[in-house]
Amino acid sequence: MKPITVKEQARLSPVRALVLTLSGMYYRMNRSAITVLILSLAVAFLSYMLSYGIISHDTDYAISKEISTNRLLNEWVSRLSTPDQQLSIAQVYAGLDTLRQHEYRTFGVLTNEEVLLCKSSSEKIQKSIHYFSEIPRSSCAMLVGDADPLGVLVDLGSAQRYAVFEEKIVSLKLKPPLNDMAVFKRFVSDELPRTVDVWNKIAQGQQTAIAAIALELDSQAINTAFIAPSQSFKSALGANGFSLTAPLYSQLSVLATREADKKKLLQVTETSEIRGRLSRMIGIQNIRDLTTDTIVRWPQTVRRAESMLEAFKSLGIATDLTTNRITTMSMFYSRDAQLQKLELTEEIKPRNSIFELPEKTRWLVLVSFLVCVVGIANTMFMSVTDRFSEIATMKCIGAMDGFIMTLFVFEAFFQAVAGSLIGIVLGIALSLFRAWSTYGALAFENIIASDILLVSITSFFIGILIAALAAIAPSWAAARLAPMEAMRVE
Amino acid sequence: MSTQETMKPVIIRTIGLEKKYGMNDATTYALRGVNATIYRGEFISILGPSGSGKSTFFNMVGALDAPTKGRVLIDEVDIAQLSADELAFLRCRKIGYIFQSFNLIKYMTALENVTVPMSFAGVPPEEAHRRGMDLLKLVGLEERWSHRPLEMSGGQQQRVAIARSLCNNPKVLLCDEPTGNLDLKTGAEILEVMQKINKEKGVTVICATHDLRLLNVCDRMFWIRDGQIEKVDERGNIQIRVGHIGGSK
Repeated sequence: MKPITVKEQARLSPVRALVLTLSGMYYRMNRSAITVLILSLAVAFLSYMLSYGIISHDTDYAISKEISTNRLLNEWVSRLSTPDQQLSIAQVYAGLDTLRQHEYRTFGVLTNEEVLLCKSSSEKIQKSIHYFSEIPRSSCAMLVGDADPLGVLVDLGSAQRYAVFEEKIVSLKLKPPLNDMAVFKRFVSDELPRTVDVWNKIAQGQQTAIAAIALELDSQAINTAFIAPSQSFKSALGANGFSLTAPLYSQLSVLATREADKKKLLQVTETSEIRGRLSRMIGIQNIRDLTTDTIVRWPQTVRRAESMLEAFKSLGIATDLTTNRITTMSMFYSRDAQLQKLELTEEIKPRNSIFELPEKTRWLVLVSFLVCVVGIANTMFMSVTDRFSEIATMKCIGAMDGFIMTLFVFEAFFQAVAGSLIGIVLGIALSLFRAWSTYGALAFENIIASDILLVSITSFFIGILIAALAAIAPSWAAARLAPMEAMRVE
Repeated sequence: MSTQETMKPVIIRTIGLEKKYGMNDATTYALRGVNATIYRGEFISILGPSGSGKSTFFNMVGALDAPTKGRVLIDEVDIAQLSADELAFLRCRKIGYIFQSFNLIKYMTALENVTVPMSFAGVPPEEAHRRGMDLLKLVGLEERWSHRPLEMSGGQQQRVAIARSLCNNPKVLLCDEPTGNLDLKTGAEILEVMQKINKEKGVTVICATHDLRLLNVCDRMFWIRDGQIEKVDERGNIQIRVGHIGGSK
């Protein structure tokens, strides 16, 4: 028997394999297109999910921040007229707002123990309120009803009510609040009443401070005082324990100016004469349909503001409003209304990474992903079976297994690159479109381009990965076929 | 076997060749111990009804399939001992294949189809190109070197396939129904080309066929039935019968 050597058997260069792959792909354009299409859909879905996730989150976050900034004036006006609610005090101690915590400490002249007490009860209050939201709704209705959950907790200080409460918990077969009935009982019967006493001290201190400020303002309205806060006003606030920073003063000043301008505009448009003129200008048929909101939000452009001022002039109404002030104010309130319309209920936290998807979405991505892998694997398999006779021929004329494998791997790679690129463009475009349809122009104010790029790159590599996973098995199978087995399929 | 034949060098020898398909109860024997010897430069026809094991025998001899039992020696090499890559080497250099359905690679031109096996064998591109054109000239298709299979007739495609099978100077040409998909005239032309190759280049030709015209051309014919070689005829023994058929045409 003669030995045989394969040393001379040439391994074709990758370039040659590349050319063969490309011409093969060109020849089977339809099949390649389908594979690319399926892959691109998978990648599009992924990049869409990720990209829309971050765009909507960033937009929500920016909006919620803006809304809370817009509410600053109202918040401070109310804080300077009535003491803070018990719940907001509890929230301050549960959170990290050290400035406000310091404020409360000054108001109540609190000792360290009292501060610690407030902190530990705040934590338990949050847990208990969370507990109410966690238990079945019917049980929650039995326990809390329409009442405010914090009020319910405070009421449990009375032994009688607590007994009823505990009975309900037992009969409803609920797990105990704070995971331990004894701990909960100690909390509501001892810790919470003591905390409420501290809160009352804080509220009293705040009340005294409010009175001192009112004396300083001397019947001037609080919001007008914020337009251009005098030094004495500022020092009175500081002296009485309110902690306002310089940026906060300037924010409040801007907000107060706009509010004052809004009031002025509404004052000068009170008469029916000017209202008639305005409704004609705006294009409202019935004068009764002309709401204050419409008046405020209409003069957003310089032309509209000018025509409004002209109307005032021709009717002999004196006002110190300028076009600039009117448009600024009007734009602010329109935008505010627009933000309100989005109805963000919960507080949005800043995002840490591009993968912060909601739980539900994460599942959706995963499941659809598996479907895509299966789909692509199927198309790859089809493209192998399609080519059985070609593979057989190749093997008959001396192609080695490795070469056949290379052909398929190359093909999968090209399809993966094409599919991923198309998918990314598709997905990002779709996410931008959806963001636009949800938020309008607001969506494009907060897009972080680098994050979108990161999403694209991630999706690209995941696309390649799927294709690789889906291609390995069929390529392996193709390469290992005995030439005759391949022929037989034809 | 005559003494004259035993002196010729052996190119393919099968010893107790068995092949079964399926497992356990469903096992069917396609070949039941075939012993055959094929000499260098012979033109062999393999004949037999369908299901006789004709194709299986053909595949074994062509190193396209592995036997269940027994040995196939091609040029004194036992193919059962070879690895996948060594088989590729063998198919590339020693055997040329011609199929009923031509099996050209559809996205390549005639010339590319002919040169692919050469590039597998490590022939430099320029030389492959030159030899490819020579081979196309041999089969009378040098004008159509740039055409793709779909732009050619069946006869032309089969001629490209013949050119391809010859490109690495094989010792054996294996043909599976080479004229099966062709009309009478084209079939005759292809047979002529094959005969020319057999006579001029001394290539051993093994044909599995139903085409009786082949009998006129071949040296010996193997009749296969039920997985065994029923009889081996030499052309001399059958000349008259073929002549008879030819005369009745």
